Amino acid sequence: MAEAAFTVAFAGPLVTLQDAGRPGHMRFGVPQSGAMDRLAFDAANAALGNKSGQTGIEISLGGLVLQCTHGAATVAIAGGDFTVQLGTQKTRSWTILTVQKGERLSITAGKVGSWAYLAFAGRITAPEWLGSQATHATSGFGGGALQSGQTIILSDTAVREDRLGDIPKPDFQTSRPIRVVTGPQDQHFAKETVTQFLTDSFAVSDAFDRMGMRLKGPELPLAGALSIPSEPIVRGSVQVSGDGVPTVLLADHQTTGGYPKIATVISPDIDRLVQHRAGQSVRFADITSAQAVAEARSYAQQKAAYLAEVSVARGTLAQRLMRENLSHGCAFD
Amino acid sequence: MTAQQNAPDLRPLGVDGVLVRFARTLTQEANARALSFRDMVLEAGVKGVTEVASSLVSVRIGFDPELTNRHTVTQTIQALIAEHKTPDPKPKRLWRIPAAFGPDHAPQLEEAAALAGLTPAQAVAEIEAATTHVIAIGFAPGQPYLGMLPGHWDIPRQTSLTESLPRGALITAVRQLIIWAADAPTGWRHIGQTAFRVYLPETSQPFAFTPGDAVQFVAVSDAEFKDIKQNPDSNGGATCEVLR
Repeated sequence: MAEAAFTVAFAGPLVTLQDAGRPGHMRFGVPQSGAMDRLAFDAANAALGNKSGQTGIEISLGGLVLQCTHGAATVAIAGGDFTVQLGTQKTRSWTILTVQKGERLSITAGKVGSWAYLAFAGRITAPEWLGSQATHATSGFGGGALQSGQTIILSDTAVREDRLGDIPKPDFQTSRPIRVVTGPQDQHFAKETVTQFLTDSFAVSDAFDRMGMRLKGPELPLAGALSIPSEPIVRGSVQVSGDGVPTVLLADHQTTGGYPKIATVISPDIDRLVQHRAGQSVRFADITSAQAVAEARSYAQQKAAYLAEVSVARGTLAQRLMRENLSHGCAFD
Repeated sequence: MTAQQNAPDLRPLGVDGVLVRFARTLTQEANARALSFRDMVLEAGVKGVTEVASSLVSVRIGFDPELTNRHTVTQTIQALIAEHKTPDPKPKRLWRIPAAFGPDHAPQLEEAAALAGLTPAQAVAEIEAATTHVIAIGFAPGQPYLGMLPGHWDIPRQTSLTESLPRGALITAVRQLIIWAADAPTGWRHIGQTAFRVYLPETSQPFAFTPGDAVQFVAVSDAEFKDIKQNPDSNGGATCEVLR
């Protein structure tokens, strides 16, 4: 089987290996982890025809530069609008390229988005923790954060000429306010405070990492709830600390927390929320728990249909030209 | 369950989860109910349930919406609640863990002691005298919530967060202690330091504690603590005695 090696010429902070995560360990204090934007991560794997959840690299605004020192591999880059450069060829995320020995691939912050995903036609050799290579950033367990100078070894690599080109971007995500279900501790806030959370605008602060996104905006007073029992937290929980500041807990969230949770962001809207950048504004809107389930179902169906479409190889350049010719019928007349 | 006990409160937590809350405030009894109910749900092997996570007085039951739905899971939970009995609360194991309380290791001891109406020396004596129990594992891998300290230790969390604490820090709020495992902000106060690792990735039993374990702290001098820290094989000088 073919192998490839990439040296990390540069890795910004919070560039980590991620897969679908490790569900089922919350009772030991271990969150699921995995990609922050699961839609973009899944799209990168689907576009290469990879198995869903195959380990890839999550790239933060800090950026990543890899140098291929051995072999070659086709790679997919999806998520946000990052700047991608392979040798002298400049492009953007949502693309599939082949990186050959001696070539340098750089993926850096572009105009929009906070996270991009680099998936490989090949398997990354990395440590597992509790059955997954996803990096739990706060402990460092799992595949780990990439460090400049490190070498990444890939096995079962392939060059997939039939998959090169653009990846269609998903078009089923809404641009409406981020939808939440209030609770499960909204009783610790005055009614007006909950209303304020649902009507005012917040800004993403600099305190934004894999654990959570702290927001700036109106203070949300806790009505003295600094002594409630710690309760389970999920990805999407909006916890308000004692100073009235809300934080949306994300992929590497703590599993329990004692500050009250005013609301929970519905899972379909987490993928687009995490792509916000510091300074960008966020609004929330509440829906019922039953509506949230219906939205999650519909999102899952649209996502499955989109990934199925993305996973179809378009054929090599020769095959594509041939198909164009055939579809026009009279090209050889 | 007896007739005097309130039926737990069921609420959605995430589109794929139900929160079962046994009490609004932390009591030993509500905690024992939450922990044993968690085990009951795990043992019941409910179809479509992917995650059963307890905290102090509540249990979150996560499910796969493709395999089941909220209505079915809620009905199953309600049937289990009806059958649920509170178990024997006696601990199976007793841990004794050395902790340093000198000024370098306990930056907020004085403040926390004052909030509890104690001098720092009295506060340390009370921590040493207490037999706490692991009432939940959470926040970070293997991190224990230990309770309950006497009533005057009902200290609220800080209004603002402490950005970072050393691992093994002994912190307190709301009649509880935590041996800190994470590199993360907290609103609890830092009142001592252990060299104990709650998570041991290199071992076959990586999570040191099991909910229900009893834990006592043994105050050591800064010099003794230095020696303990230099012996990496001892896990902070802790001992673990099997009681039953």
